[in-house]
Amino acid sequence: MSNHIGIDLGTSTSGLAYLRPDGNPEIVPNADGERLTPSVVYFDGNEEIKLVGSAARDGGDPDRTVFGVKRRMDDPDFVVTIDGEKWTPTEISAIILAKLKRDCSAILGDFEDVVITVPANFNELARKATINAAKIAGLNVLRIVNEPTAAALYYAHSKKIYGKVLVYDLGGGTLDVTLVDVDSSSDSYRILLSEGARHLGGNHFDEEILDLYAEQYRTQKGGELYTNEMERRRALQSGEDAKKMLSKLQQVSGTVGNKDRGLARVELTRDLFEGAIKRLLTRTVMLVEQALEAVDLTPGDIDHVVLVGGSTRMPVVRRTLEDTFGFTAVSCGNVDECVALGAALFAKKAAKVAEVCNHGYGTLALVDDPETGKESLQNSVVIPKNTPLPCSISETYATSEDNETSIEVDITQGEDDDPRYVDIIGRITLQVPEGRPAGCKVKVSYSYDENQRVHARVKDEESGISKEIQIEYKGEGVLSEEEVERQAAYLKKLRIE
Amino acid sequence: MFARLFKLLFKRKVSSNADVVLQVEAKAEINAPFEIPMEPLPSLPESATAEELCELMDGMTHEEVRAQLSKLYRRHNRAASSLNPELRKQAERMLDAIVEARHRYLDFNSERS
Repeated sequence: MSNHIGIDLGTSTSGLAYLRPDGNPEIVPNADGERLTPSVVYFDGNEEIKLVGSAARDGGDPDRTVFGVKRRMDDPDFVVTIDGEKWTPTEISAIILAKLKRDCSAILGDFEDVVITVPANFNELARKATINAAKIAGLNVLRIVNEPTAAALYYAHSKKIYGKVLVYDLGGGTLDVTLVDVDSSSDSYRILLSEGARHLGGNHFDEEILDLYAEQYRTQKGGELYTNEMERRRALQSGEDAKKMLSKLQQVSGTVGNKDRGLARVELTRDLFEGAIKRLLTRTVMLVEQALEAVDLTPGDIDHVVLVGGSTRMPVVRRTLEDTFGFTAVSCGNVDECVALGAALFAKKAAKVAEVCNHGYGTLALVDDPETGKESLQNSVVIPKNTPLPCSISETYATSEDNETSIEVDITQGEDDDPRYVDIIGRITLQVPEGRPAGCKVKVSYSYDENQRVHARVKDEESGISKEIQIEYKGEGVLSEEEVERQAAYLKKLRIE
Repeated sequence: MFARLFKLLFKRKVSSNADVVLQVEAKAEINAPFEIPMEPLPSLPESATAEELCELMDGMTHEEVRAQLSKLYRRHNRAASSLNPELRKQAERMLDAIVEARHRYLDFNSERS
């Protein structure tokens, strides 16, 4: 059994890799003989069984099939209801992980300890949900690691490169841009920055093709290409297939349609497709620019641009990056597998990787503007985004009124000064003695652990009263610790294939 | 710039028991009814153009437009993954507007290049 196992719990597909005795990672196929398992779960109506992977994706009732649940891991209110039973994104992800664990155990032997990857832009809630999904699946998460970090590790390991590496990870649902400084002499990896964009990935390109198909269908048939989810998914799958072909061909044609209005022949050229996704590609370029600006680098400072994620197979993506950097971006081996492979490497090399926090944390404060003399409510950042991990930073504030007996400190996630554009993810209330004047000092400290989980502490300096919390989330889509334990026991008995 | 060391904590007065010294682990829950008097999010009229949404004005140089769009992109890209659904929706519209404005004003061969 390997001690170093990494799992890429992806939006479209998931994979598991282990580190061989020779120090090189290798993908472990599932019981269906596939190297990657589609991240799809089918809830059968007749048998007490959950299908995961290709069998779940390729057939069955769409109302019983769950796709892309990873995109909802950060939504505290999202649940899927099937046969009157509610399933959270955590539980559905747990079923996918359980399939990987069971299948791969047959090859590797029983194991529990794993490293799991997440998008760099996953927030606190989504990271915790991922850890809970693993617990339910019977896995122990040694570390959560960002997907681009894992990919960079694999690329640097396999190509023996060093210098400043920009990882451009365009997956099914998200884009992550990460800058890594690879030091060959010490075999160490320093993450300089990670920026992410939600809702920007291959699935969104597929949606653009779907719109093009729907327009052509309407012109030919005078009706809608799809009127229900099953018809929509079929057309979407045709679009995805066409997208893949357009990475190799200039033009593709096919048929799409439905029972009521029949089939129509649709044509798609690479130019038409690239025009349709231009605005999405511009968003990716802006993210790259934002990343470089944030660390005061220019494209000329970057030694390697590494492509990760299935969507980077599209020629237009490579061209766009070449235009930005002036040299050819290189593929990270198999773009679909390198994250899992890197995760297995990370399981061994974690101590050599210095990561940064992916979100800024702060508090709401009344701030005087010395120029205008006006006081306004602002988000005051305590831990800036991209601070090296682990870290602990304090900021001192003062009470604003006499005789305050209750001090409330709001915990914010986000870097914007304007409090309307950040999330308030918690509140600490300190009860303090009466009769104190305004101006009593209060220290607000945040610490950020290696799994990117945040802890907050507030201390009233005069009285010494303090309070410390770890952020917890509530919502229909969030499981309590008791529910995690209960579901872990339930999943052990569940038939998952 | 704002004073850094002596910021004023935003707080509400509530009844309390000052004799209790708190030094315990606690949980902060994100759906607690935090009552924070903030300005509402700016409304984005349906008819507003990309220029209006991005507050681009006549006479702005390319560099000024670039800086404005970059600032807005940073804000709204972050807001697109907010826990607040209203903010997420607004951010998506703004990101589309930012890209549209960039294509119009900054791309090679654009109308204003």
